Amino acid sequence: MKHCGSVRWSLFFVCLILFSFSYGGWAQSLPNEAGYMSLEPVSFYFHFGSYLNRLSLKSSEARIWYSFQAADQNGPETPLFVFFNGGPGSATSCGLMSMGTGRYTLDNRIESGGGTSYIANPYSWTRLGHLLYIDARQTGFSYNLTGSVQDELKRFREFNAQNFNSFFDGADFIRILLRFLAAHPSLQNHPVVIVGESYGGVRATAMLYLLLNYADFGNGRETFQDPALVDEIQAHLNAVFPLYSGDVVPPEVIARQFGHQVLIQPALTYDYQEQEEYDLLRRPDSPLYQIGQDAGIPYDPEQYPDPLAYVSDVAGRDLYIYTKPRGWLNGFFGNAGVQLRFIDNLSQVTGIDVTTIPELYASSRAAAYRVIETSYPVSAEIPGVSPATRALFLTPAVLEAPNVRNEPGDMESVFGRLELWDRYFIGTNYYANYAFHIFNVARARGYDIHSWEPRYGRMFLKNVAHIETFITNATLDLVVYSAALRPALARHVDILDSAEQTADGEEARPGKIILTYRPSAFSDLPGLTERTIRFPIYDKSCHAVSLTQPQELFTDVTDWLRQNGLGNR
Amino acid sequence: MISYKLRWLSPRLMIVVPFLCLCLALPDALRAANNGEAGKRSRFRLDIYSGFSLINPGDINQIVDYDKNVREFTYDVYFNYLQANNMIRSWNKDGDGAGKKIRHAFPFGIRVRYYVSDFLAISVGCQFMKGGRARSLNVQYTRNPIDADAYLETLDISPYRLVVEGYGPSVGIHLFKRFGETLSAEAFFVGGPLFAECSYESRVNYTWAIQGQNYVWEPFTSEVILAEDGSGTGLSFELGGRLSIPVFRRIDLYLEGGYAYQMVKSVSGKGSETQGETLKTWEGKWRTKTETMTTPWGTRTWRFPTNYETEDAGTGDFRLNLSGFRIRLGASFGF
Repeated sequence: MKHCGSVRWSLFFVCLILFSFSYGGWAQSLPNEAGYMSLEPVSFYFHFGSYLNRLSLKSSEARIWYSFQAADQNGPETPLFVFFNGGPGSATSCGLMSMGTGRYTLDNRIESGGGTSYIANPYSWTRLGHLLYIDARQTGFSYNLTGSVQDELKRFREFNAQNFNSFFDGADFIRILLRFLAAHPSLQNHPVVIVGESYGGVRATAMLYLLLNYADFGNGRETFQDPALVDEIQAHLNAVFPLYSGDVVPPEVIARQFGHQVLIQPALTYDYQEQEEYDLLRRPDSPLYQIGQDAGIPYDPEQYPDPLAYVSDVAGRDLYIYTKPRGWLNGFFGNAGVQLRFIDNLSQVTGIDVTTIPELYASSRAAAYRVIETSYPVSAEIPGVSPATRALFLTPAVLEAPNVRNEPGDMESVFGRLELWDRYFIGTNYYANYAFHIFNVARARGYDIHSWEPRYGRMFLKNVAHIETFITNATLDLVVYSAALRPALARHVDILDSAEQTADGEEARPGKIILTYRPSAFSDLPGLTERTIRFPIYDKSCHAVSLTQPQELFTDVTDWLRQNGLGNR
Repeated sequence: MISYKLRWLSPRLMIVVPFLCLCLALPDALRAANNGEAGKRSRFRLDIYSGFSLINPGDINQIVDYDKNVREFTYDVYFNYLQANNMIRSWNKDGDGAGKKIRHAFPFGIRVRYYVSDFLAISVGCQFMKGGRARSLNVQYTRNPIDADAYLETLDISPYRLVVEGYGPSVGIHLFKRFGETLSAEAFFVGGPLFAECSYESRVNYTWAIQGQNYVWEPFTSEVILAEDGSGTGLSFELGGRLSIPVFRRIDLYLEGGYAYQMVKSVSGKGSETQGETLKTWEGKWRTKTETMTTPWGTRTWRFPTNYETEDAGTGDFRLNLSGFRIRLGASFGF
């Protein structure tokens, strides 16, 4: 009997070892992480084909905030989701990280404007893969460093194209992503799913275009040239695709790793999107007539030539969800921003003790700056900005909420008092936003790199040739009006023969955009004929779909990933 | 050993050594001239001259056209495009943004002549010629957007400098005829190696300001210093004539003129670009490069000379051409 017992134990251990070999190597759980990754000053330039007449710029050193939430289950194909919000200038921490995607989500009591704590999220995307949230430069918890930081003119000049333009912004995110992967060898070759919201559509487009066509950003072919980035991408590809080591890796191979994007109410070819939106909103079947009827102020396109100004200023509705009062969505962002400044909340959301992060302490931030004017936010009259646009930014989302200062448990009480030009958290840094749009010397000098330019539409359409794409169709959102997306893409007549939208399909929320490419659309993609974008409808959703319909979004993304051979479920 | 020879034969030494020898000889020549041996002409004469030369180093001058064209294309043409597309209300330009081409140079030199007979002399000498244009350029562009404050862009370019130099030893043959005791005329042909150099330098300070009713903001300033230089070896030949008259017993004054062919077909040198704290340097052969600028407002193609990355296809020959007519005034001392 004793012998039989030892055989049973032996069999048990053999099984255990076999199980460990078959599963344990992958199943080892990764710890959550949060903190900062440093970006060194980078020299890059824009040119029109002339090296000696280029615009050379050098960025400032930055500490970029990231939060990594490990997947519930880890396997060799477990994707890494990279999340970012938009703006440009808006934080991911109080956006996607706080709203229905992570393991914890803000207690969103939708009708009462949000709760005051973070609760377990039943639709956590950690069931699908690893989550990496990144706050863009100077947004959320990320901050820049410079010399003579007390000089206001110096800080003013920091908010310009050397730190803020859509290509370099995309390059920032690639650097952070690749450095994160390099620091986690077990994840280095995992599939990556880019998840961008709003302006995040431009960022995702820039990132993927930079990745897929990386060599052209160091050999002079593209307007933006960042040789150091090219080297960094090449080093990553050498590690992941050793068969190509040292050679330029073709985009179809790169897409094996970076082959999926989920875009939540994205700006993609925004100038066209806005033109199409304005056209659609002025038509008789526009929802503005219903809004006018509800508000008791009938909509008349002649009387109100700017339909968005009518919705916001006349009807008093939220442009991000026109069934709600103005400021509704930004109330959630603002609330999340307030809550995240409490140590306990941030520790709960990130899954780590944030008091262990040295870069958060005031003592380590002598050269840090976040704002120009120390009285920020100010309602400064910024030239070239319409009152409607300014109103978007003068909402609680951007405020350094005074009610959390000096309260027990808030950052200042733990990490120390910051200089007047520094901040622990900024939900939307509109100095950064203005640097993209207005105080941008590259734009002033005619480089067509502004985020509204059609070039991003062309880049998106080329990316889609290699990248499986999921775009939300939130029908109540007027900031990125989904109905305008298809006709906006169709305006790229040099690339597309047609862009058709269909509601066919067996999904709970069907919807697709079918792109038919012109035979000569891209000389390096001769076989490209048709691509399909998943485009499910979210009929109760605001701009932030993960806030208003988190379950539906989670389900659709899960099914879409499964169809594309990704995901853990 | 090789390096010793090269050092000894270096262009500057080939100028300096004859010059020193001639300087040593000059006091004797002057003394002899003043002592004056009546009716007897010296077999040796020392010529010292300076003058004016019309030159057109076209390849290096192209850079002036290129800079002007690029500036006009990226400012004037761009603003016209913005205005035509209702993206700005108006724009205007103040100041001068064009550099000047090199059109002349100032040669000077010395020569020792030996009179073989009553109508023939031979000579050795050395010559130096320098031409250049240095300017300070300032141009300000103002554009008035539709619904925003004015943009002021200022380009302050100082210096904007272009320089060419040529020097080298020469030997010559001179055929002359005397007309009485007061005038002689001659035809000459001199030739020798030519050592030539060229350089380009521009320091561009750019300021972008936004001007409102009660404020001016300067969101961006930059300074770019671009410098390129080059040197090479070629040939120099000159054919000309001369009239001279004696002013003292052994001192003649003369006026000579002619056409000089001075060409260097291979020029190499260093380049540097400084932008803020960033310095980039390079070395290369000067070539004329074809460049196409493709912008939202149009496409233009230009040729321009540079020594930056000229290994690519699409570059053409660069020649440093110092040829041209020249006129010189000089003094000749017999000894």
